[in-house]
Amino acid sequence: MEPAAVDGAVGAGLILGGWGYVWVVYGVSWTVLVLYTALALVLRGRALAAESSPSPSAENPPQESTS
Amino acid sequence: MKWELPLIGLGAILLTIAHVWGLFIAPPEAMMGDVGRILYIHVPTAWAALVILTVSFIAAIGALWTSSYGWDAAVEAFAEVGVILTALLLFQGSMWAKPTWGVFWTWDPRLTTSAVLVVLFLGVLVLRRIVDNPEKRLTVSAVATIIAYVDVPIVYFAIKWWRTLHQPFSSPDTVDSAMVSPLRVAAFGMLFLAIGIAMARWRSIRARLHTEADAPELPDLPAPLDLGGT
Repeated sequence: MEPAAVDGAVGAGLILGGWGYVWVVYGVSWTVLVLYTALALVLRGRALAAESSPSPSAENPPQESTS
Repeated sequence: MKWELPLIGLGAILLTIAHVWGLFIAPPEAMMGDVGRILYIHVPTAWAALVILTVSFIAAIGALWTSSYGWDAAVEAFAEVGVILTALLLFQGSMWAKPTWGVFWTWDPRLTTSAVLVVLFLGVLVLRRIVDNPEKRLTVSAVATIIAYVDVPIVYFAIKWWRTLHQPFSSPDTVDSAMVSPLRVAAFGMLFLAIGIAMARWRSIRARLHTEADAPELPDLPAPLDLGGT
């Protein structure tokens, strides 16, 4: 089926090819999302570890290095 | 209950399914051909960015209302994810524009207002790094977020208010059914992923703010030595 003409259109036709643009878009977007997700999860893990570890206090003083 | 891991996992699965569907199963678009497949990631990124920035705006109101560090952390977390998504959106759009419009960039109202959006929310994040006082930072960044958010409805309605190269609003009625399903799955996938990442960031930013609030205040610096003379 031919695509419907658009009022005022200055040209018509089908764009051929362009897979290079498609792969670049998906490659860059997925890479950014994966790296950012990994960073967010690493920082979250550190925050949870810090929350669960006992904080230094009078009853629980910080360990001093003996070396 | 920590929802971020299930949300990130579900989002990644849905996004993978939608993108395999959009890249290899869905038909090429009638005029854009295979380049139209970029829209299966570009459109969901745009929708997720606007939703995430809206949450940042709501968090800013919550922060001003309650002065709570939980809301303050949400402002930063959602603004940060919103900036990443909007920057990706601009990149994806420019890569789509080259084969379809013939240029990577043009000062079209939708494109220009979207670029302004990145700069505004980047400004909010920079402001949070500049202001050291936690109470002042909460107030200043919340107000800046509310001001920056004014651009979100302008971005959304830009294609209606001005003459623009960008496509008009689309809906399931204006998109072929073979393309609606992968688009819809990708939209939910991107949204779940973005919310999951923002919640993970919120948890670490909130911990940082609590640590900062618990830290003892530094003593005042000694007065400069008077070396005499006069």
